[in-house]
Amino acid sequence: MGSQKVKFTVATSTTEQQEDTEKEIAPFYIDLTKLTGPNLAHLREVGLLAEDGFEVRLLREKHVKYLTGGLEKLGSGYVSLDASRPWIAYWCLHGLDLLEAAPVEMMPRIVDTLGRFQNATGGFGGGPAQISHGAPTYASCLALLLIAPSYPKAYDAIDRRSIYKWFLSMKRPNGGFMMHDDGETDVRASYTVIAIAKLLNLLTPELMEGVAEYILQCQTYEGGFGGEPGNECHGGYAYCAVAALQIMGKLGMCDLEGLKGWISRRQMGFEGGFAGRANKLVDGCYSFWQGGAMAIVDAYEGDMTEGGFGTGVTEYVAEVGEEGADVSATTEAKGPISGELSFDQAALQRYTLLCGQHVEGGLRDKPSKARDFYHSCYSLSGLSVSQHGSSKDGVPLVYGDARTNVLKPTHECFNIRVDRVEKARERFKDDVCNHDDLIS
Amino acid sequence: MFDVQAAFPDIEPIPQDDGPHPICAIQYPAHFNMVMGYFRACLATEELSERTLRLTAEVIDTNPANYTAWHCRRKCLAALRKGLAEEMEFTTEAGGDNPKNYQIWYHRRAILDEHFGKKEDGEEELLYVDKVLEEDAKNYHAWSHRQYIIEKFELWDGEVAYVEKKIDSDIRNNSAWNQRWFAVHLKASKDGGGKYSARGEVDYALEIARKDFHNESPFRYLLGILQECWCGESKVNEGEEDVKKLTGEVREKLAEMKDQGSSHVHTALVDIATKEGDKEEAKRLCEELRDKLDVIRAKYWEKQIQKMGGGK
Repeated sequence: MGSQKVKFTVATSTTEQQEDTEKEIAPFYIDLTKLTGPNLAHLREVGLLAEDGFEVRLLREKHVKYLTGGLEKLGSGYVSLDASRPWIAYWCLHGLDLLEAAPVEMMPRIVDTLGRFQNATGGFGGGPAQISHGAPTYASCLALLLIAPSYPKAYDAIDRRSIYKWFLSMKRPNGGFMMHDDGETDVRASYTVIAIAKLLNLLTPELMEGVAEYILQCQTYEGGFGGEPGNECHGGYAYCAVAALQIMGKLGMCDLEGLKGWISRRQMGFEGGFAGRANKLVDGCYSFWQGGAMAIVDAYEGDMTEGGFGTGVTEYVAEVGEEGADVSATTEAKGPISGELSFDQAALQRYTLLCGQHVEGGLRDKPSKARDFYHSCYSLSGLSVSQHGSSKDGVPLVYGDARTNVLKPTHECFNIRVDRVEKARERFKDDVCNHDDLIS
Repeated sequence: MFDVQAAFPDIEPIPQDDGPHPICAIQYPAHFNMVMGYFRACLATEELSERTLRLTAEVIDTNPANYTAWHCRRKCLAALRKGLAEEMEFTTEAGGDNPKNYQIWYHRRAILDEHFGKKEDGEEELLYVDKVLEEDAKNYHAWSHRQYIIEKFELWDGEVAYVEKKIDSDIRNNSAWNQRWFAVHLKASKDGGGKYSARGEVDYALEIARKDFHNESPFRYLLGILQECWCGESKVNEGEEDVKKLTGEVREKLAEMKDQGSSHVHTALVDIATKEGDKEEAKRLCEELRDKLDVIRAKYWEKQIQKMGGGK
């Protein structure tokens, strides 16, 4: 595993912040096997270490408790997220779903609440009586689609036809989409429209016209994508661009070599997690935005089917196929070459498990930051991607305690579980998907 | 202070229709509920009035991310044909020192689009962006807004100089590097006869790269410019022969930096060696990156090597 800290000959505010972050992270990366006495007892007590070993563990029950809490009552501090309630619902539900703990008994309430956010003119707002917006529409639909296999009424809560018309009404002459009526145009909007349209079987040629061309203008000389043409490339926007292109079957139109190089350079040499932009700091949410984008590119290139790194996984299966095997040691022994994705999957998992977890549940940007639902969702999603790679039926590559750490595979383009995506596809495959019929 | 209840004696507030057992139920403070109740009522009646405008300010004060309130505010402004300098001031107030919310930045754009057209208006807006960038030199929204202003108000002339100052104060400010790319290309397309001097950009990038070999930003900028040359982009002022010469020179200069142990120097050399068909050299560099200089990316480099017909 890499452990190269930042090097510099000119100190600037960037290098200062980077050094501070490395100092903050370093204590989490001590050799756990050398721990003794009260320190070891403490880590075992909070559950970060197994009782019988030194493998770091995912605090499953605590995360479940924290995320379930997000679906219930929220303190008054959350008024700043009052226009983002579908996001809170999605972040918590998807995190829970990866942990195999989506609350079945709450599902009727979820459908009822989100249903009140849907507007007759199409799309969802951030709450009742809020105008439709791409982000709440994306989050609401994903939340409904991920619970629907257990609670099919959730499928019926989505008004496909009106959403389609609303999507079309957000489209601009330049191929971009607005986030809402009289709202900003950027690749987030493109992605949210394309992802939901695909899941609901609404991805018509009419809707897609010019969309890839707009997104391609957002790729910069560094190789990543920015939010709008000309803007600096950035992990969140790059994910949106890459996923949208892949969903439309147009990823090959971008500069893939440049893209891969840029994503891979965002993984931090010492921390192991990803940063959003060049010369910025590690942040747990980019575990998914960058890691997921790389998984999409790797899947596109079919690396795992061509042998090469697929073999690393096979060997791994042979060695740790039995329950309770020392997965951590296996991962270490193979070094960063193991796993089929084009980034260091073990290092990313290590960052998530050791630096990202709050001992009371929930995950965070970095140790000095507070936990929140957003970082919990995307840290867990990134963990899932780095465990399962772009193959979903193989044996996962697990850092730490394999008995506790394995998450369900998430779909790298939609970020709900792979089985949820398949169910949605089945559910909507026979529904009308023709522009003229949809708008009639 | 705007007394909401006194301003709407004729209006019955509408409570939030959340159902009996809502999920993600925020415990709203009483003031928030009151303000939002009147706001929902105004939305329902579509009243685009002075008092609704003032009400939106109250809503935004309780939650600046309430995009519906900003949306309604713009509708009121359009209906009332309000004084717009005032509106920019309001938005500045609402944004604070380091605004990172989409609504505030989009509102500025929408207002500028609707009502401003003079160069001075753009220059004044740039002063606002300057202030934000002084607070946070990498504020993504601020740089994006800056691009919008520069293009809309045709203010590209001073931008390269502005960016150089930003890079001088932090050579790792990657947002500033990206802005340089934007400014150079925009100026070329608008009044440079469509072309810019690749050599000028290469020289600048190399000058800054030499200050700190471990700073990714100038190396990627350099390669970006070279790639544009290699693609035969019409934006570049250099002919085919010049490009070859320039590439050779850059390769030489980078080779001189090779013993600095910088992954960025090596990475840049991989790109150039690959372009020039020097497979063996590219492979050797990738191996050094994989094994020594850039081990976190060992898998990435290994894959590159395999593509070149090598690898472990």
